[in-house]
Amino acid sequence: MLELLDSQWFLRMIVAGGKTPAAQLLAMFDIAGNWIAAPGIRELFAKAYPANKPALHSCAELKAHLTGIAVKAKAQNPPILASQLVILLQGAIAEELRNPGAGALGEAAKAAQAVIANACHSDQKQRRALRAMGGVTLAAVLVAAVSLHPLARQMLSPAATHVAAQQLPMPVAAMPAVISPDEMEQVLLLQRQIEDGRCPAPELLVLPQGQATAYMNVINARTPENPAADRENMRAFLAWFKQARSTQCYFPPINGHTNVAWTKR
Amino acid sequence: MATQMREYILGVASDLFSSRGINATSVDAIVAKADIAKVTLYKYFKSKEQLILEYLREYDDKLWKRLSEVTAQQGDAASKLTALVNAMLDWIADPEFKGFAFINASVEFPQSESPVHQSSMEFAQTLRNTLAGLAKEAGIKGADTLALQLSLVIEGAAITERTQRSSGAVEHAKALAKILIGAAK
Repeated sequence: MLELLDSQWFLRMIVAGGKTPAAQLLAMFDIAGNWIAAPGIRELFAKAYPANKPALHSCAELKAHLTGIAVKAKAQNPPILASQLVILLQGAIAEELRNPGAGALGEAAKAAQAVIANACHSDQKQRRALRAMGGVTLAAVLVAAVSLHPLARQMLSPAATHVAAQQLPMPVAAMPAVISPDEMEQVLLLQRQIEDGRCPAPELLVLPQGQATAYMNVINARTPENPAADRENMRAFLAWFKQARSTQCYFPPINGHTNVAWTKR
Repeated sequence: MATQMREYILGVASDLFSSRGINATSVDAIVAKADIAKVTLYKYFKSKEQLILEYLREYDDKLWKRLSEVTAQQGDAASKLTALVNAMLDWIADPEFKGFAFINASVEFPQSESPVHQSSMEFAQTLRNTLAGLAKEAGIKGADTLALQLSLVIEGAAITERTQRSSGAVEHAKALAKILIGAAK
């Protein structure tokens, strides 16, 4: 029964449940509540979990999926937020099954709202601060490089800087100079493709910790604690994605033979 | 001697109840594991139900003793509330943890008129009331709401921890509880 929480149906319902990532995370509780309230579901639960078989299910797929949404919601630590939401959901379902109609899922949704606000709010402040700080640092480095090194002056010809400024979105300004613009552009391009639905989101929970962090650092414009290791991790992540996930990407033909809209823009 | 025998039998039965489930443990299994005559068991406990109720009472005593020790060390109601939730979550983190006895028992005895069911609901209710009481004392307006939310966190963490050992669920639940208490103030 509880396997349904890991099903494609449930995961799709979550995504369809809200316009913003935060609204989608919250919608999960409503969807689960409606599901349990549907006729006959309680009976199925009673049959699936007799007295000697406790209702335990780990919800690994769900957690990975929520982590992806939490990334889009720009949560401070997406895997932890996902884990906390699953804890609330599990507790609420158990309580709802035991005490029907006590509003456990609604209460869990209220709690989730507080946790999501907490995870995403403090992140905004942090990023704003970092962006301001990082921008200044990078500008200083560039000014120094241009004024000190003739070669650098050549490299940063007006045309080159113009192209770079056009291609690279805002957060790049905050990145430390140790990660090359090329690599950063690769990650940000990938992030755009994931957001547009052309490439599958990486399952951050199954990635090695360092790689997930490196990826998050770039897309959230955070300064890594150890830039050199971060760079290695990011290369490893890009290589992994290219090898294991890029085959699942789909790019619609650009010759006008399709009018399927792949983006919401 | 008499009380020693009684405690010995209760100890063996408790182990079996928590590891195999209450319904799945027969009196014969307890007698065999304890290596005693059935008559001896019935001399101390008049029925299996009495054994179950004693098991739940002992479990609750142990848990409440631990909880009151932890809260006694705190000064104000708000820190007592946090400490109480954290102590419940630490209880879950124990590798021997096999689910809260009162929750498992209420699932195994769903009939509300069963004394086992009543006894296990009593614990859940006491816990909820204690949480709400501390929240009220700490000046939190929606004290009952917060108490319900915190009990959802505790139960959800227990489920998550049992399905995935040391996945950090207990730590995440503690952070979660802290946010909820902070947001309710």
